[in-house]
Amino acid sequence: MTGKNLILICGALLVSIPALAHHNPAAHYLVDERMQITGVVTEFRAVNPHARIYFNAINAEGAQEAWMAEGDSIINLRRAGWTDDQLKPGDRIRILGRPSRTGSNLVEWTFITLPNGTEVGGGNGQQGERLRIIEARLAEFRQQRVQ
Amino acid sequence: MKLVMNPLRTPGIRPALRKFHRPVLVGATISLSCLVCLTLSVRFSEAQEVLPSAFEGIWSTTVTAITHPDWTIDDLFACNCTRETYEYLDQLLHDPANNHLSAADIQQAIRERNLAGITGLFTETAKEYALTYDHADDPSIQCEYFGVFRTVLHNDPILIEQYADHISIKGEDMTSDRIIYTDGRSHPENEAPSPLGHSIGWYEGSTLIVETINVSANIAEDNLPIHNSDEARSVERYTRSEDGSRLHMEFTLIDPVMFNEPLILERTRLLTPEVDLLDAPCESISGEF
Repeated sequence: MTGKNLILICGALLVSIPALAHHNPAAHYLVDERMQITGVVTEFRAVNPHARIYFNAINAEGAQEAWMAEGDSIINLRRAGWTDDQLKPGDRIRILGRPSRTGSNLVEWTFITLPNGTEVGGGNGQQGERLRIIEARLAEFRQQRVQ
Repeated sequence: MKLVMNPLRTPGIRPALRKFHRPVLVGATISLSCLVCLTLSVRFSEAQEVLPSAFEGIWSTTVTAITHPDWTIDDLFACNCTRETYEYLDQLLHDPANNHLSAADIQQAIRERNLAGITGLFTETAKEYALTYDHADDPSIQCEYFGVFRTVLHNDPILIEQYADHISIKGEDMTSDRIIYTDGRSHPENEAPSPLGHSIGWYEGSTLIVETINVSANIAEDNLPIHNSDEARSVERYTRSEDGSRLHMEFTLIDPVMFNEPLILERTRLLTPEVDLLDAPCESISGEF
């Protein structure tokens, strides 16, 4: 994991969100750490238990490396409006997610930023989007309680 | 460990009957048969009162239907939680002194409290197992279907179909489809444990009770984490809200090998007829990267 676009983020900076997935993310990832990486999509696999993005990223030495990112199950992504060709070969994406626990070129994405700057979720359990919705509902609840 | 629910099959009954004279034995047998028939007919009549369709439909959790308008604020933080955890959640949400807490803070606090409650019931065997278990060994990563407890506790939508003699519960993804016999039969004797075990159900008023035994050792919930031995059995109690829109489940896991006392978890689902059960191929990532 030596990509020059890759930033490891201390777990303390981002809350550890409860795992809601089909299997525990700790099977493959460091659940309390975050990283960012930018790459170019080579394939999007619309499968269970987790959809996958294969992509190429440039490492610190300037060489191209093959990576793979895992997200939510394709059935839950479809339910959230994703299509099986949501990402296409050649798409340049930025991924925020959890790094591999073995140091391999593997990342569990939480959010993906598309070429047009749009941020989409679709990570394992769609926890990032869910938390934003819950935060909004909580604020609304507290506001109503005051009134 | 086998549980025998049918009194006719309870060890010790037949030897005891041999002590009586034949006419007494015949009379007792007829009386007992009538009692069983009466019990079964009561069960059926209770079932008929609840049927048709009391529990039928597609039911979703917040995980796949987070934007549904009928969730209460408490529901949005719900999980497979103990009663004590829900009481703590109530305090966190409804005491204005906790207004400084973000949703993420509350999620984290609930998760920690729930974990403490569950692991506090662990036997020494369960503690040792938890220390050595590696999530990478989860067979579902290799696309192996979940066993019955993990299926019950999973987040994805379920489709419940009720028939006169059985209930079918279907899920998505790696969960297993279940059949719960409601025709009054007992659990089989001397059956080898299996991932789904054997489930029978009955109605107590408007509550559906499901008892499952003969379950092989497995992962019962990997995120909590709960593992069950092959001595585990469970009791699920399903109650529908008066307006029919909510399904409350109380799941009791009785496993003397892994828990010092029964573990009770609760969760509510919403009726979501607009949802379809979806399917897609499973591909393991093992061997890659």
